[in-house]
Amino acid sequence: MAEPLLDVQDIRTYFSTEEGVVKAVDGVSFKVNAGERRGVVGESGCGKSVTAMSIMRLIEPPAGEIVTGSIIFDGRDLLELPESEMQRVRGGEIAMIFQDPMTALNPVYTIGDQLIETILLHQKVSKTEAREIAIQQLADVHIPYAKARMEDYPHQFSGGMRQRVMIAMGLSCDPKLLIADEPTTALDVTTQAQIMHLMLELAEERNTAVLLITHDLGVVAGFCDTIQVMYAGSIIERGTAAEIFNNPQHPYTWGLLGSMTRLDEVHRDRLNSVRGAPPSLINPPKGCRFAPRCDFAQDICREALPILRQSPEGQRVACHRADELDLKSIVMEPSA
Amino acid sequence: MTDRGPSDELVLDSAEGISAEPITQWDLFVTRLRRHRLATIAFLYMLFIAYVAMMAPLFTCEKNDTFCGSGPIEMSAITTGLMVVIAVGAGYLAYRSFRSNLRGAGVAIAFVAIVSALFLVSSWGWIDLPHINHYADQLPGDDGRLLIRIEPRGSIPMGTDDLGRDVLARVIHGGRASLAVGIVVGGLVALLGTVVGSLAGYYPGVVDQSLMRFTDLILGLPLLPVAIVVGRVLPELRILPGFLKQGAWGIAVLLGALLWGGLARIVRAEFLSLREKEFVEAARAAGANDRRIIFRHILPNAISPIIVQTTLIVGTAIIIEAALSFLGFGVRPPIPTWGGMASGGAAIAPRGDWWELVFSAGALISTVLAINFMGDGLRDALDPTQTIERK
Repeated sequence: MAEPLLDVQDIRTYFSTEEGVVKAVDGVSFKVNAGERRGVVGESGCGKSVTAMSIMRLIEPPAGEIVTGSIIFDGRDLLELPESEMQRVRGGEIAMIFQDPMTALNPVYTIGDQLIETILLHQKVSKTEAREIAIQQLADVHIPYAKARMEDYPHQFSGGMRQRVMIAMGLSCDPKLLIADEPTTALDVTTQAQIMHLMLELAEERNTAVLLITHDLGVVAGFCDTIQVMYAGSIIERGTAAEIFNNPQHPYTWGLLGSMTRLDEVHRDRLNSVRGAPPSLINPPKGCRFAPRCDFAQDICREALPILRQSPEGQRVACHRADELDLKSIVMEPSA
Repeated sequence: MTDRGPSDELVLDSAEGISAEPITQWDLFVTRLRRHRLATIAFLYMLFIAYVAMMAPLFTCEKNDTFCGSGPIEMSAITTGLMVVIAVGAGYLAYRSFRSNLRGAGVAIAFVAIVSALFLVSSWGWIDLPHINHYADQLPGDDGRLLIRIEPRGSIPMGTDDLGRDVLARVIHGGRASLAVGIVVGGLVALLGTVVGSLAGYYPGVVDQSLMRFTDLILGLPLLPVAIVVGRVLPELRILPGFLKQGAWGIAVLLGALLWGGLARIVRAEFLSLREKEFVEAARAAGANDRRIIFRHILPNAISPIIVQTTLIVGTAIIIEAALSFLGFGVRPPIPTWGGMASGGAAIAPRGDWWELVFSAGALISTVLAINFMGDGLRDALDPTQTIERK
């Protein structure tokens, strides 16, 4: 197989707080191939966003630090690059789309100015050419009257339109990797599908790999080739979308899938949920981090930390009991 | 979930069919400023004061000027050029104001244009303009001696002081010191406060701490005593260039160096909150470097507190300069300043000669008030995050 586009090896990103060191990302490794659509799912605080920020090296030293690991992107270790080189990578080769389009655009500049700025930062074009590119990008994300709207300020745009502008900005320099950090969370449901569709369509046209971070399983199901599930700072299961959805091996994944709302099933009872709350990342429990919340935990789970290994079904899973449990056949009891 | 993308028929790159006319930044600014009645009046008033102060030598003349009272005003090439620019510029502005229905501003600016044009014409000897004589010595008393402390009357609308000098002429000249102090202090404070505040707010840790402790030190200095001592010492220092030793310039630089602390704190606070905003993160993710983020992305968002604070400081600086001159430590006589005149006026006011005090203090107070109103109006007008309701 060809070199992966992004090869993250065992990164650990820690934040120092007054209570202690928060191990927000604790030993995450994964590879993303060119053009791949990778979904990263997990509940709030599991380290999804910090993983993304670490790749972009947006973690600021006094507060947080990438303690170990390597991030090989396109043949270079991003953690070794000098800041000036990194600035060229950011936006140029790896672009990022943020969660809240309402605040991610600078309120004092027009949409056009902001698009042109990004283009001028990374491409050797004249101002007029950059303007042409910017208008084209806006039209590509289906902003009506792109030319006229260039002169408008962010507050004159709706949430969905702003997120489309963010996508235009992200893709304006033809990055090789697009990191989308919960791009549809702040939008209403009717716009979400549109935006996702648009983003992935444009990414595909440009052969841009996408790292889609979300807690919405419905979104990854529809749009991602491969999925990794994160829990308490590490990846607990990884596989193709079909593998994860049809045959979850980790009790946490299984619980997440069970707690999804579906329109094609009638729920008579309360919605299922994974009981309990994620563990403290300052003093994570010994053994499997999911053990305290797991219905199937045994002594070994509380003693030894399971590592990510190949399961017979094809995906990789970090669970001691993955082989013996047949989660598919267990009917989930609604929690009280 | 639908497989259809957003409706493609909407995608046009022409402005055809777009409902609202695009509004430019200038339109917004003017509209907002207009809604602020007081600020508009203050703005025009300051325009008037600044114009009169700038052109003070043309309105007034010294005792021994040969051309005083009659004949053409002598003007250097630079002054002539300046007047041409002002006359033409003001004329154009007045025209535009009338076009966009700003009658009040139009009249005021047209006045400036007309007066400038009159000066130009008189300098070429085509007409004679009446002048305010610096010394009212055309008014000898019965004993042939110079009349002093003349009450305001027709030809001397503000009376004369105890040396027989025309108060109106001196009020006009005094505005120059006040405005010079205001402009220099405003510029210095805006520059120092913004730079120190931005750096402290953007770089936490050592940079922040050392800059802010230095700011605390400056803020801790007792302003008036320090200004008095330094003001007293300044003229003795040989190393200083001459223009700093006399007149208002030295005091302006001194006050500028002492008054930036408050602004630095405000800018730092703005930066502390703005640097955590998602658009800053987004700018960094788009590959912007620190300089770009500080000056292009954060600073414009912090501009309204900077403007407001700077205008307030300008007002304060004018008052402090007046206070120093009042106490006799500021600009030395005979250079007229509002503070100095108020001091002289206060000395003779108990005898019932109220005019010098009232007119100099009145000029001072109205100017400082106008500057503060202007700051208010500018803040509202320049704030791009504020929405504007269309009437």
